[in-house]
Amino acid sequence: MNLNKFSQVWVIIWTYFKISLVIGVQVIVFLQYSAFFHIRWILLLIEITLGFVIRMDVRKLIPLAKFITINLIPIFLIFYFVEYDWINTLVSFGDFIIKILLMLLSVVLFSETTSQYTLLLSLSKIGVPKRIAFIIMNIFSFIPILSEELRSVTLSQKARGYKFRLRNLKPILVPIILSLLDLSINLSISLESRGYEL
Amino acid sequence: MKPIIQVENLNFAYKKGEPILEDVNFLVNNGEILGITGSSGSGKTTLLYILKGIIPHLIKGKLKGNIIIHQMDIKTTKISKLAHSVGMVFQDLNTQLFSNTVREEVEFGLRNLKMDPALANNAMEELHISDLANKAPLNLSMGQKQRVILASIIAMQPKILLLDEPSVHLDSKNRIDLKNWLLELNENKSMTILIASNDSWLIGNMCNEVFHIEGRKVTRKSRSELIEKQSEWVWKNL
Repeated sequence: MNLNKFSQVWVIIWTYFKISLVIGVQVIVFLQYSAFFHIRWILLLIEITLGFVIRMDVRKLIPLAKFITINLIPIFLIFYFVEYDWINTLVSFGDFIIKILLMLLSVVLFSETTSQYTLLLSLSKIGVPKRIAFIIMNIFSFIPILSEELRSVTLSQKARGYKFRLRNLKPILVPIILSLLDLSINLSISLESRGYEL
Repeated sequence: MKPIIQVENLNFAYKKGEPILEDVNFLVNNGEILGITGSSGSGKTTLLYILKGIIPHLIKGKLKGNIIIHQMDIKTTKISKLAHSVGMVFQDLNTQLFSNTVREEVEFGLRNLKMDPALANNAMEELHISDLANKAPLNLSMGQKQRVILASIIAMQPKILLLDEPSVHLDSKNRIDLKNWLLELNENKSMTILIASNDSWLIGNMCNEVFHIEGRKVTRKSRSELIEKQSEWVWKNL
């Protein structure tokens, strides 16, 4: 893909359009108009069809799905302690899941169709500092890295006889935090040595 | 001919009172292939970090002495400017990859330096990764990741190539390929190559001379001299 000056402008404008769409979806979900209640299904369907249109790799969603499922269980309990009624809990919980799916799918669709470099370029054109652009760029590639790291650390600790207990998370948490710190430092060194000014 | 790397009176310590390198002096001419050897923890990576400019700018430490690379002073030149003339392949593979596809990864450096992104195709063909161009770099095998990183550095056509343990993740066939690519690069583009490694096969087959780090001192030794002194460095003949 060799971008000349003219087509580069259009790519950046297209990226701004996509960013505003994503932000629009988040705002609609948060504001909770009654009109939103009727169009949320349509929005969700549109997003799913868009996913099929760009032939999104479903396997990329697996670590994301795991992450959400782990977080949903305590949220479900919180909903129960608000309602004290299983049927009402299920209804409001379903509503919540639809909202979460809407928000997440829009972000995933955005990250699938935008290359890291275009995102960097369009962010720095509107005056976002390069350090912050670097952080935003890395948010999208962070969850797969985290799940990969979690898998390898758990495997290596289990190989030494570790059993997963909620009150004994130290052998997993400490290596993960340390390796993520290491990763961020080394990634910034590697980017800078390839000509990116931080 | 002017030397391409010029190091005078280099002293370095991460913390005061714990010196890593003392009184280091050496010259490297254009087009040389040199190894950097020494036991682990002796400062091979530190020396490469200094030559790349990472140490005074990104990692803090007490650095003294003159280091001039390609007529640029390390202490005053930004790392992103040095990227034109010095390319470095780091030891850890996962921390160098961040893009969605292999092609984006190889084009990243070229875009930063405002070079033609089409140069990425040549680099990918040279390292036989053209068929991986649309795959995600995180899902590749170790050997493939290493080749992607090498391609992303070679695409920028640096004058000096620094390699930190390049052969640890490679199998024997890939190691032979790596050796041949590096020799080709050195011949065709007269690239200066410095390899920090403990892989006696790679160093023994590629470098006639070696910087050996021992007791904070860097000495330039010929291959035969090193074989005589250290019996564990058994090298096959070329």
